[in-house]
Amino acid sequence: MQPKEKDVRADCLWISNLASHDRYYRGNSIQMCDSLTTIDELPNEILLVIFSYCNVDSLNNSSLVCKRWNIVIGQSDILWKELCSSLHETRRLIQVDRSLETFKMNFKTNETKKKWKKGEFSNPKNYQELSPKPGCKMDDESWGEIFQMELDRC
Amino acid sequence: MYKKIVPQIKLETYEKEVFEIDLDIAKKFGKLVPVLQELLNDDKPLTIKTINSGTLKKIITWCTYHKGRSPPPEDDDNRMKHSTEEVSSWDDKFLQEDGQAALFDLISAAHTLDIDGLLDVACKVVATMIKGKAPEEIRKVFNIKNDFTQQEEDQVRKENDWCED
Repeated sequence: MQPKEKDVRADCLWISNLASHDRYYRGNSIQMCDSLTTIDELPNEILLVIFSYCNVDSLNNSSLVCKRWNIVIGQSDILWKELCSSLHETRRLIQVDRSLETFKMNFKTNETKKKWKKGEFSNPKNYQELSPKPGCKMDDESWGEIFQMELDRC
Repeated sequence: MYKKIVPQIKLETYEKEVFEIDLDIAKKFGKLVPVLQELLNDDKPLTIKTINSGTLKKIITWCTYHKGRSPPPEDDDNRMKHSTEEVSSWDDKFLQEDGQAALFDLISAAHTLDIDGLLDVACKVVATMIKGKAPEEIRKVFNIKNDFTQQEEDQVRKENDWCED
């Protein structure tokens, strides 16, 4: 019975070692434990959980907050995969293409296509009405689809 | 089999305060599940130095409130992760009433103990705090220092350009 009990303690030790912030260990430190956690102290994997509940606008604004956030958002393929899978049209591509850049590309293309589809860039009456930001770079196939949509609109 | 009518485990917090936690609550602490039986037979508390008493109290209250309330069904086809709508008003109030630092303490503890539902709902609340805010406002809310040079910030802005309205 005795050795087994020791094993449990050993098993559980890692819980204490999992500290995302080590100030709890500094026994003599001045301020310690009462609710001092800031968002900066949360590990990247928690930031990612938070970002996974953000929409694209929030993510873009968040990536401008600081270098760390920009890296966490920009380099997470899970995050972009989630974003992609939230779009019906790109879902079929997900199984085939797995690189982060492809996910980003898919997502951006899709968003841009949606804007064209809504007619945001169609029939400008004058130069001022043209959006200064017509979207991301796209492949020939996507431009073909947009061209067809515009023809159908006529 | 159990010595007590309501089986309990003992956890000791950072402040060396010992909490007796009902087994059905402790079962929600994913990281403890493999060792629950041993903890039940053990009179000595398990010390978790990274969690303070206030946070553990909140966790127990949250788990008690949600006991018996089943989590929303997860439909693979219909899983809208990018939505913060489903935070209940009880959760929203409960998670924010002690301020931001307490919320992050709670998130950190939920992560350490692997309490899935709590981690998710608390992170959703933080996502709501980000929503609709400009970068400068987000920095202000969370007290984050802008460590970009003007040039770097412009570069990121340029990369994001494709989708801004």
